[in-house]
Amino acid sequence: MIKSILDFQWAHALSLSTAKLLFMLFFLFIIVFAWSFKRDYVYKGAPDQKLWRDLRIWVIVVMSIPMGLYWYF
Amino acid sequence: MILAPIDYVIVAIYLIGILFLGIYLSRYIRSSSDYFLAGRMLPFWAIGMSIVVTDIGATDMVGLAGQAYRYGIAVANFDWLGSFPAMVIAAFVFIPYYWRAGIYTIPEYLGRRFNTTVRTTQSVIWILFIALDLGVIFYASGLLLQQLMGMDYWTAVIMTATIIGIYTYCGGLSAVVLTDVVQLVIMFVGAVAIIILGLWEVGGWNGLVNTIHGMGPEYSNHFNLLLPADTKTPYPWTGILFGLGFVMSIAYFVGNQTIVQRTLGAKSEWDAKASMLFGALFKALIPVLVITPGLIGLALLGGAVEDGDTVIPALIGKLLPPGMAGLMFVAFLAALMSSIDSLLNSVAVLWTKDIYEKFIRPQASDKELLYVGRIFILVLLVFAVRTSTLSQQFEGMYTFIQTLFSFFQGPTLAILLLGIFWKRCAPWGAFIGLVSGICSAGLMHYHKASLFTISDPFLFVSFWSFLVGFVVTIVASLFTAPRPDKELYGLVYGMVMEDEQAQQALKEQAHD
Repeated sequence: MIKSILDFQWAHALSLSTAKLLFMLFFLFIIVFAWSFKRDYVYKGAPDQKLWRDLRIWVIVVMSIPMGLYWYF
Repeated sequence: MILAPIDYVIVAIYLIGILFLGIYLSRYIRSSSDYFLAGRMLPFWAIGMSIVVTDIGATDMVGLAGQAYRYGIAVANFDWLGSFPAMVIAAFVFIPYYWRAGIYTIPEYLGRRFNTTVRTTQSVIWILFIALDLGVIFYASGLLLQQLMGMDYWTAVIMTATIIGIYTYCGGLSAVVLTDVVQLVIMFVGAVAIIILGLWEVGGWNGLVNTIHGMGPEYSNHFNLLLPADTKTPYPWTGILFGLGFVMSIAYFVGNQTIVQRTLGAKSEWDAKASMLFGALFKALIPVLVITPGLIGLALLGGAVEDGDTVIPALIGKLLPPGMAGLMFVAFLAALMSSIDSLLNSVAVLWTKDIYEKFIRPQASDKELLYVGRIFILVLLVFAVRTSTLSQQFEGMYTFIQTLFSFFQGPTLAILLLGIFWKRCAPWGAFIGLVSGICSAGLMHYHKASLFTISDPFLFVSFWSFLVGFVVTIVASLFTAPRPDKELYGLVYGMVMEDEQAQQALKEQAHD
């Protein structure tokens, strides 16, 4: 019983496609999480308010990399 | 490997250039803040590149290629899933609080948020770990250089230690970060050279995939990032997601002094946050550079190589023409030096701020702290070089140290998370949670044969020890006294960070 919990044996029944979906949801959650921060907080300390300094946009670029990789492989 | 005269010229140019840069930067060191935090003048791009190169050492370049040879691209999870989400969380949640608090070390933050006991426990753990780890890294790297380049062990170790010692002693964090930038570029060039030549040899990416898939069914998972939950390798997808993605990677990027320290030296809060995201872009390339050679090695050498760590040396001998050896040598040196200089600088600031200033000489002047930090770097360097050969006598010491250290990752993340997000989290609650989590990890590791089905369940252990630390901290906090609100301004999420009251509170806490 303990072994099955510690070892996540309940997840053995899940297919790799389902696992891939869970990873994608995790990456999507990170993007949503980043966009939950207000603009003022994101730009705090930036010398100007140019669009490229919006770190939430950086997060979309950054997270699209693992999403593409995990989708392909 | 025999070095040609041109190789020696390349190596000499690299070493002299790095030395010159470090010594040049020493002219900007006037205070301990200049030395330990680069005067808080670092731009995001330099910090981001430094974070990436600090994270990968010479032994990793060889070791990860060996893992890829055995298990395939699943090893890339450590740089992909193990970096992107964690670096975003660090950038948006933790780094701004650390930066605004004006701290030098993570234990210092824990000390302000909780109490001196938690701070000192964390500092001592880190100092011991880094001191022991440095010796092991020197030993492993000395052997690597001996194997790759035919250098005498002591020549390799003393040469690298001397050069690292000089520029780290002189230039502090700014020297470490800026030499890291150069070292990252060199590592990339060296790795790209071997990949291009290797892929050319195997007929491109398609040729690589077809060759490996054609080697038999046991290699069918070599191009799958996710391995089944019941795999016998150490990388089932469950462990990768829950252990690595939810715990270990986040703990690494928000609680590792060596990584976080350079973000504390950022010139603005925005640069501190952006540095993590910029570093994440480079992290995407690391698996390509270190894992592809392992796969190329499998395609070219076949599956008969018993020790995966010998794949890279064999590949260099097989692929690189005379004259390119110097470039690879410099790439390995760069990877080695970038890891060691960061560890040295981090342990110096831990010792100086968390132990010396806190317990030995609270009235020490800034000049004295700067002096103490520099001397400690030299002392540690001598200690690490001198003890490097102890690893030979205690076989498995590296694994032992890494395993021991992994026990702290989950519980440390638990108290950092609760410390930032829950103002009711009490100092002694955090301490009890930290100790409980560490003990649970030790117990799980000790009884791993009866608790887990895979032989090396470190990913699961980190997840469960995090959970134990998290729950025990909450329960113990409810039974112990929390710190008053006025002492938590600027240290807890949602408590004002902007107004003068918060800034004044942070300054007062800094002087406590």
